[in-house]
Amino acid sequence: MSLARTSFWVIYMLDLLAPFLVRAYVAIVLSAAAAAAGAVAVLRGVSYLPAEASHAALGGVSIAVFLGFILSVDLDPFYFAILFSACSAVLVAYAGGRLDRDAINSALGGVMAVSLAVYALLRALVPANMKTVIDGYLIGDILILTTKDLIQLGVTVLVAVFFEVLFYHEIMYICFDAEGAEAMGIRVKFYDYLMFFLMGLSGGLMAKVFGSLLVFALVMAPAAAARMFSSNVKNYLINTTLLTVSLGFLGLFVSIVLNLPSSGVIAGFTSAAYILSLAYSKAVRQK
Amino acid sequence: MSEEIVARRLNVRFDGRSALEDIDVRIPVPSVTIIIGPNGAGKSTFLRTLIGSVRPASGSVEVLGMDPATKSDQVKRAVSYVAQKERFSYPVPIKVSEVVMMGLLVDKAIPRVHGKVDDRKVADALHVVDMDSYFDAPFDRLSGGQQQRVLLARSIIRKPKLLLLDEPFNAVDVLTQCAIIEHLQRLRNSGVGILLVTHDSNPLARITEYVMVLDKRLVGFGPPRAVLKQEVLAQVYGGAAKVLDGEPCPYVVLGDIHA
Repeated sequence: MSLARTSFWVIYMLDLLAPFLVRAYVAIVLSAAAAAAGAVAVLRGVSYLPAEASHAALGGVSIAVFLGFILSVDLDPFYFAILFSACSAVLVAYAGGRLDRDAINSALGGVMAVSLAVYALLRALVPANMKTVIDGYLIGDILILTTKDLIQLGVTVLVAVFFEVLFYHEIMYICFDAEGAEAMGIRVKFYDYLMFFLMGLSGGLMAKVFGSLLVFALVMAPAAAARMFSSNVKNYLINTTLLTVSLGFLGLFVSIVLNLPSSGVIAGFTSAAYILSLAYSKAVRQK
Repeated sequence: MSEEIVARRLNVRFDGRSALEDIDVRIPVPSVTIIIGPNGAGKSTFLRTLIGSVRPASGSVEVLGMDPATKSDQVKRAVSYVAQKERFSYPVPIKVSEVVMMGLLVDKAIPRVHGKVDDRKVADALHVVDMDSYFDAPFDRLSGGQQQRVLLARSIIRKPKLLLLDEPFNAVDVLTQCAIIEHLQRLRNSGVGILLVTHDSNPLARITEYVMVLDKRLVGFGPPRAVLKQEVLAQVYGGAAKVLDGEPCPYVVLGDIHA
């Protein structure tokens, strides 16, 4: 009872339209749109890809910060992060060939190892005040995003969503039956590279918002949970987006009330949603 | 446009290993031709070469007067291919109607919008394979045989001139098998060529016009009575193959497994 009363007073006292909160709302909506890429990754059988790509973002950020340090120029780490994430995902697609699972897993591991090695090496070579920029991509904080960050995220999400909507049918056909799609004249290799690029891009975006350590919980968990109660691909993409938005807002408010880190609480809710939906799905199947 | 499939000294290799060797064959279209042979004989490879998914190492193929290596798009518009598949492995939630709709939408311009006319065509295609009551059913809830029929509907909705089927009777019960063969017969009568890979030629005996026996190289090709002979099949199956005379063509028994 006292917790409920405290929660009420915290929310009552808090200006829900405070700029830092409004920016967090926008970030959650943008992240939800990016989470649709997590759903595509589940459909394509490469669920881990966005999370791997978000780790690759660390390598990109480290390079940007290191180059900025030695050349004494101001390089925006965001572009390096998303470019590195997207390119690493495309590299996985290339190394994986015809989506052989073993080859994909090896490529995922290899690319992640290289990215983290770059991150660990270059982070050690820059001054302490620059390390915080790099570490911001390791454990992010949705409450400290700037308007510039949101514009960058918004434009990138728009680009990703545009291509996902435009090539919705191609993506669905290839996920369902790549060999059949190719036999019908769809250029599977081209769309596969595009799909991997967009998944990588989304992973990089999520690293900026929540930090790469939590991307798995924020991209894959809602997508895996939504899969259990979605009857077709369109519903699935919509359910994933709605679930991410709902859990994002829920986690944000709970984190404020309990004075806990927002990204961690949101990730906790998405993970719980996944576990509950898994248990529900098993229970339904056993009936 | 030449109405046949022609292979001239066709060789296909994967990683240096030979998959098809010096195949010389001329298959009339329309006809019902079955391809038989042991595992690893290159049967599926031959089909995939015909749609341009596999490139010849040497020699050439021509499908309805087109070279699949250089005119892959045109060949894929004229030819429908149903790959060997017992179950789909990826967890894609998709309805039966959406699967069949793929056959229509791939020939439309991006973003491939469909209308009510297309829905009707999908319903008609499902009717042809006796699956009209499954229009809105989730594809992954169907049995292997039902899935095969839906894939067949996806192929025929494109109105192909040539239909390539890779082991369409895997995981299919006898009744469904009979139903599919009926549909194939109707397609053949409407002028569609059918080239079908199978391990069991016997259920197709009634409609088979040509038999192609492969074991990387071409062991035999011709009408069933000319090819389904003990001495021909012994070359690929050894002593295990037995040919029993029957109507309308001989039946093949391979140990206790039909070939």
